Amino acid sequence: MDIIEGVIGFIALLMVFRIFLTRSRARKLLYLCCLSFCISALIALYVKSPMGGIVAIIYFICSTLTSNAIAYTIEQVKDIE
Amino acid sequence: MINIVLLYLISLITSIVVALLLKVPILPKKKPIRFSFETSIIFPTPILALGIEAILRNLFGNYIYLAFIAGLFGALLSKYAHKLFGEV
Amino acid sequence: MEILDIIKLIIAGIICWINFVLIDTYFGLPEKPGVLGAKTIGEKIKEIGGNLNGGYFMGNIVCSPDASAGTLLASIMNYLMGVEGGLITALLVWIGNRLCADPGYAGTTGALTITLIIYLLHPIIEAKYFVGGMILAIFSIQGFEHKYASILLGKIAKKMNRGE
Repeated sequence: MDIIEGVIGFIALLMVFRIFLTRSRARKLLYLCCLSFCISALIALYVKSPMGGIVAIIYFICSTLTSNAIAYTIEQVKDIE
Repeated sequence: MINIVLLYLISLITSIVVALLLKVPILPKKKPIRFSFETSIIFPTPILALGIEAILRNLFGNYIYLAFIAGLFGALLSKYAHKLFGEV
Repeated sequence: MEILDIIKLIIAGIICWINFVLIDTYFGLPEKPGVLGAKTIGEKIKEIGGNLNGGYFMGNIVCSPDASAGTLLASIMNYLMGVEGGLITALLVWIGNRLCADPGYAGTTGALTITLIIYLLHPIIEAKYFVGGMILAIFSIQGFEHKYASILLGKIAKKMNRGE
């Protein structure tokens, strides 16, 4: 395992811990966004082919779409409360 | 090597010509430009054409008619983006 | 040589940080929340003592592919396929932006500029270091300390006339 994959994997684990330990839902979303960046980079670095890159791009765009929907829903729920 | 640059140039010029024929504006009319959703000849049209040409060249090979098709699809995608993706 | 790897990683990280922060600030990410979700995150950051415009910037990163996503995905595709990978990334990031109700200027511009930078620097720093460098850059904004990151982004936005 190269040093770059090691650094990215370490940051991903750190983000997982911070997601569990923080209380605010909005801040959990920020750590989740950083985690998606790390997983997308790891997918491409381990599947060393162009299709791996396409898979990483599609995974990243889909995770951004779902984070968008979650943040929108949190805002709507605040209005209802 | 020079053949590859020629293919990309063909797709770029085809997309600009077809976009001019389809009456795509040169710059977006609504200002400030950085917030407007309108497509123009400067902004997405050449980028979409070069991207589609890169995909087609890697899937099928160095054929000239694919460069023309890539330019055509780039211009069409940029003109009808509003209908495909919808307004918010 | 491990120490040379670390130096190249840090330099690539600084280049990626400057690339995505300047392009995002220029295209107006700190000015207003692009979608409703960015407003939630911005207001929460202001509650914990940060800057509202910096909070809108960080919220816009979460809710739509912006120059940070463009830089990361373009460095990945440059590592796997060369310069054509950068062009394919610009196309796919534009489609992703339109799906998330964003005009698409920041993401595609970020992808194209980092493709140019990687092409110019490829004898010295390979594309793989830019992938790791971009992860370090996004960690410094979204994963480290939200309050101070938003204050720094707010100062940069004010300097470029995009803040309040």
